[in-house]
Amino acid sequence: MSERWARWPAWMQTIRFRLTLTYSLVLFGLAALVVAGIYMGVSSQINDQPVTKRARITGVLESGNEVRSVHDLPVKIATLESFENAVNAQAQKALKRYSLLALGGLFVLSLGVGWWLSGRALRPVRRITATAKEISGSDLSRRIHATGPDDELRQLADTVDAMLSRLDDAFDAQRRLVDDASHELRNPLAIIQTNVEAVLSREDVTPAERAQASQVIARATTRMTRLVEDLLASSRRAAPAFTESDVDLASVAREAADELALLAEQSGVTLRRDTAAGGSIIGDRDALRRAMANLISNAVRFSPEGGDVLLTTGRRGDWGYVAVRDHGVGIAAQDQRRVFDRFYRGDGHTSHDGHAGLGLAIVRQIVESHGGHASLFSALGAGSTFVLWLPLAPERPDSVRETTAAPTDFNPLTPARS
Amino acid sequence: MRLLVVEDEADLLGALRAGLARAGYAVDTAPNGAEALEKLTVTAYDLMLLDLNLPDVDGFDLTRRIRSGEIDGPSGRDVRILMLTARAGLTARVTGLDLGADDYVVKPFALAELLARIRALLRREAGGDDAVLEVGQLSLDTARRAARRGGRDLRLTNKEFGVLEYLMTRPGRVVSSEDLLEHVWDEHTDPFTQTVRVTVGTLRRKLSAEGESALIETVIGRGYRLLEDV
Repeated sequence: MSERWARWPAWMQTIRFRLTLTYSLVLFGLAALVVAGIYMGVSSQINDQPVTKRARITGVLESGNEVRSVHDLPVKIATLESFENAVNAQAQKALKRYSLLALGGLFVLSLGVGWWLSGRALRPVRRITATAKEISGSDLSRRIHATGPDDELRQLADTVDAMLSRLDDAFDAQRRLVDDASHELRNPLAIIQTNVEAVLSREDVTPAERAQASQVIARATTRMTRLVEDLLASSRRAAPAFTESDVDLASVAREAADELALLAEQSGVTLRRDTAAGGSIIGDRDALRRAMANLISNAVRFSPEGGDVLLTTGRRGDWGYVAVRDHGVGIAAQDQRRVFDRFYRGDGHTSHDGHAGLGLAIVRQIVESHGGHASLFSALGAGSTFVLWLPLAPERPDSVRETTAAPTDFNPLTPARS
Repeated sequence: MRLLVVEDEADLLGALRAGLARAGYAVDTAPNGAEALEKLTVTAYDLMLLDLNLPDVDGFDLTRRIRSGEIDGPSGRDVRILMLTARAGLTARVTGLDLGADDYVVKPFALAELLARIRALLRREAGGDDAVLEVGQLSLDTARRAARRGGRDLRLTNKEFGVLEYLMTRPGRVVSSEDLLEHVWDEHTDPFTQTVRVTVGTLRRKLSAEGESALIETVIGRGYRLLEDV
């Protein structure tokens, strides 16, 4: 198909040309119908009726000035009827000629008008195209900024603008993520390279030094591995396509707890579960499990040996929640807002345990992409409680529900506060 | 030459210290800004390797404070600063150099390059323009860490090399043993040690073979002076 079009000159491939042609042909067809109708109506009318009504003469002489009796002369007599017929035929012929001429003129005129009209209608499209052409992948800051009435093309331009904004934001987020990540990867890379060059690649080092350098490198590698995994999870969530299904909060929470059971045991931390209640939400099961696992793993790591971590699920109004409480060092009030930021580290020293600081940022990203909220209740020395609020699926799928804000100020693990 | 390495990554700090010490530098370390400031006010460093992301203070801030003379200490406001950081962006590099850093190295780095940059910076301080120091018949290749007197190779230990390098950048001037202790030995050295005297003694012996004149003169009560032989 496209090859057939490709042989046509460029101006004939335009919508403008097709619109003009269609417009002209339709107009021509309609006009032809009208003219044909008029023509047929007129001709049937004049064939049926005589031009002269109640005429007393039946004939006139065809030639000569002398009027004589028709009976005297052997002249050819034209009857009035045939005369009228001749006049009618003449009129019909003229009508036909002028109709055809008018039709032809109309067609030519409609081509011009159609070309002008479609050009005018398509002008915003040309502007949209020109702007879109100027926008390269690296500069998404340009917008079309259509003016004029709120018509279809204005809506198209606005839609394109909105799409560009979203793309711009997404690219920005992606760029920030890559910047952050490369920054965060440089430190372990430097550790590995320096240890290799300063210790491992040299002959004159003791076995103890060698062993220590290997250990340091192994630590740095673990740190990079975790970072890369977190990054992959993060960028996968950022991608719009993910599988959504009905997810039972309590069962996902139990799965996440099972995943972390071994870590808790090794760290000497008791992981208690209270996951009887909960609810069903619509979302990405794997991502939600990862979010919960990140919270539990944080709680376990920040718990003192012999401490306990409580995992609980429940619901309040239209919102389901998953809460994780630890009795670790807690987080100072001024730091609480920043803990969900990428690469934020509590006090600058937690980086040495290989924790890259992406975990909570991913938790927030996952929860927010489900329309939920992550909140934190903590005080220094008293431990922390992280709560993930997720909107429950409506009981009947077709029911329209009034959306209430998530009760983020409510801490389900200290009911007295509510 | 004595360096201060300010870096909060303990694993990197350890390897850096090993690599720098092997290259013959006396290395002090500080894991955060506060400790770095404390050390700067006590010791005269020849060069400072500065990480920008420190837990308590920003490296840019620290540089600004040093360059403005706000920090009073023997290192002074002109101490060489080499920024060693994971911040690779153009803005960060420009800001760093504009604030007064003498060099900017982005992690990860090759140790060989870092050492070459350190040598270049220290050389600039000594006023030389290549890696080889020369005083009379003595020549010292700081890049290859080789010392010669005339045509004879001298086999020097790191500390002997450090002492000779320090003396060769100040030929004819009296250098006190405190100065030597401060620039060639690191913070883990007992200040009342005899090590400077011992090292200068062995260096003096190594510099002069049978029949050659002594090059290091002891100025009693003041220190040592490197003589130029012709």
